[in-house]
Amino acid sequence: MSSDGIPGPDSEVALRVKAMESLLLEKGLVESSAIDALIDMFENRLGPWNGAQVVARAWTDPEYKAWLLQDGTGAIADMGFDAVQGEDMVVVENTPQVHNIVVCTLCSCFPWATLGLPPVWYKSAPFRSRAASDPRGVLAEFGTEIGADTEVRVWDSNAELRYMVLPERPTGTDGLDAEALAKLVTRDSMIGVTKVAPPD
Amino acid sequence: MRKMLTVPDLAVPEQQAGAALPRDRGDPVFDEPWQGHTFAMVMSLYQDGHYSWAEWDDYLGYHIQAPGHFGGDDKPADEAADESHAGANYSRFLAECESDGARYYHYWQAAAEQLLDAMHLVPKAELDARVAAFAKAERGGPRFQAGQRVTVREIKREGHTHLPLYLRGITGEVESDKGLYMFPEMVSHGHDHAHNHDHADTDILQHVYCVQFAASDIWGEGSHNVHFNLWDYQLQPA
Repeated sequence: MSSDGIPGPDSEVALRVKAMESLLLEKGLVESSAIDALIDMFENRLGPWNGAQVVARAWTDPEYKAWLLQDGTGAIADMGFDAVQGEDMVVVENTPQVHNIVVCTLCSCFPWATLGLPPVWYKSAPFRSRAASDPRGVLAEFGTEIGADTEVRVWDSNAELRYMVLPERPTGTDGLDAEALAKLVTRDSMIGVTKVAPPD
Repeated sequence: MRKMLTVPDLAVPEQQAGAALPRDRGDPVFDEPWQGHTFAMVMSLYQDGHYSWAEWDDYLGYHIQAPGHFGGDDKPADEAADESHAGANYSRFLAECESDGARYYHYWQAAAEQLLDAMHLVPKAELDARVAAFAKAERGGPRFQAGQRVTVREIKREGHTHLPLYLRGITGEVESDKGLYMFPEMVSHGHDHAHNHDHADTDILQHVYCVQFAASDIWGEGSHNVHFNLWDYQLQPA
């Protein structure tokens, strides 16, 4: 371990994790089954496919969309995706006039119920610092062009309030149902760093 | 006190379920098993009410607050990016993000160690001692090899033991080394307790061997073989 307390290589930190888990198990503070269930939940149950279903429903159901934008927590829970930590959800809508981008400048708060765990870059210091100070620059890094007359809004998530973007429905999707639309929706588009591409 | 996780009832669509699902630019949620374990330990303790999420955030936020604040990355940004996105049109900025983000669970573990120490759940000295014990066990290879003859030691213990007592003094053949496992006598009786008895010098993490015994050697009759998984401590060379 280095002087700043951060474990070094993977093999070293893996050993520290194993040692900590063995002590917690012995003390009866955690149970193996609870650890396994949590890992399974985040690997297999929570993920952007949940958010994609929320987006697709909002695109096809104006009443649901109005509910989602007014009460994100309730509308998302209606899909069966309850808050993991009791956090409240706020959904912001992208339009031709406004483009929203979500960040957690202090740590890594993320809408777990709808998007799962955040991508690697979302948790990084460069993204967290620059997304807030230079969102157009960050969007360009992701290959996302935003017109000069489009307003860019940055939303800083915290542990209590977490944001998700309702992306713009792409053109050429008039004939698609919610199930087909959900397949077009990407995780990055719900963070607001990209747009949803039209179907091939 | 326990705050239950509410797992969404909605089934994961079949075409999206399973390990092949792209989640993080095609990467798995946890790159390494230890990442999932440090994440889940912090979550589980939080759910059981040992601390608030805000308290945890203070520790995690401190560790990930600034780029480069906690020392360099294992790999240069370009190299890390090249590995995961070979050939992709990938900006240098995003490569830096990936490189810093790859350290996330290192920061997470460091924050967890500090919080658990501060909360008197796992004192730092206790953790460091356990880490040293594990490191020692991993450095030493298995004492016995497949095919080697071993005899079960004449272990005398009060109370429950995980050794089938009828095997004491019986000789069998090592079928395979199963790797390192926690020695249950040390775990269930506690480290301090064990020190007062016959495990004072016993490693908490030991190789477990699958040992094959002839039934006739154990019971004096029978033509079959019986396999037992036994800890290093329980065996001696025949």
